[in-house]
Amino acid sequence: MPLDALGEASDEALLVAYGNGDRAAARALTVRLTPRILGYAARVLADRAEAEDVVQEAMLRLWRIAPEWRQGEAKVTTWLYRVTVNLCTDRLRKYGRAVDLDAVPEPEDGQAAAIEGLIEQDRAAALDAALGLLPERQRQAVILRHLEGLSNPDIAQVMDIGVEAVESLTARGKRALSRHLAGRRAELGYGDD
Amino acid sequence: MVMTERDPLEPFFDAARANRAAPEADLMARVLADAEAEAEGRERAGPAPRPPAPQGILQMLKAVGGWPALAGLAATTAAGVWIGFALPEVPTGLGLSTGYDLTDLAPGYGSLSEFGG
Repeated sequence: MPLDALGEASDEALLVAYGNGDRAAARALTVRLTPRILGYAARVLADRAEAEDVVQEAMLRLWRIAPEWRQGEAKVTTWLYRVTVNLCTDRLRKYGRAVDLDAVPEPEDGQAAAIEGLIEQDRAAALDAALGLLPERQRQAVILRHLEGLSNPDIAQVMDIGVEAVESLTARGKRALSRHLAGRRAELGYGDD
Repeated sequence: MVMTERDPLEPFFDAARANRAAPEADLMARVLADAEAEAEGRERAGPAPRPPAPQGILQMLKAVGGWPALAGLAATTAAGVWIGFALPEVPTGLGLSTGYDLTDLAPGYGSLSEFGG
């Protein structure tokens, strides 16, 4: 595949090209997809090394399926997220939840919190901690919907459930997150809006 | 100032998206090395054997010459069935006695049957 066509090619076209031996297509897919699934794995596992192992394994499975990929049957990203979600679930069940709630930093005091970047980090850490308190399926659905930006039908395929079940999981997950974070909104720089 | 109503969780989601883990060069290199190794392995192994084509009725039909062949086959089969059922009726149904024996129709049959016992 010509180099200038790689950026515009669909994930599926790149995967098929790689399956036919095109190494440049593999490079384009790596750049495009690795950050996406690393974001999910790192958030769920809360362990960088574990997350990287999961990503490498998920991408390896993608390389292996490439020659047999059936065009038009599934989105490459949906397939890859599904593999990643399952690998993360396996790791969590094997090794236990990696999220160490005690390790999540408390909000900085008023002076330090004036630095916007630190506030952002604190907010992100607070959200991660609250996500860690959710039941597994609610956490998966909320992350896929609100942090990874997948549509509900895509999440339904990733999690192998119906769209209505996705909506229910995300709604319940968000209610629980709101409860967990309610006491920290003022600390994290949010007013009573 | 008019404030638009916003999901109170959205600032947390914004912050989390901004603090997303980014892959380092080492991970990208490992992933690419796997892709390279898989591609090389496939090339060394040569093209994968093609799975056997499904042997449906259409494939079988194609093998014997398509629909015209099927029409001829059907006609032949029908004729065979008709002959099988109808022909024995001819000598008995007409009440005719031909007076012929098998040896009259096939003269060599008598000697053969004697030879064979």
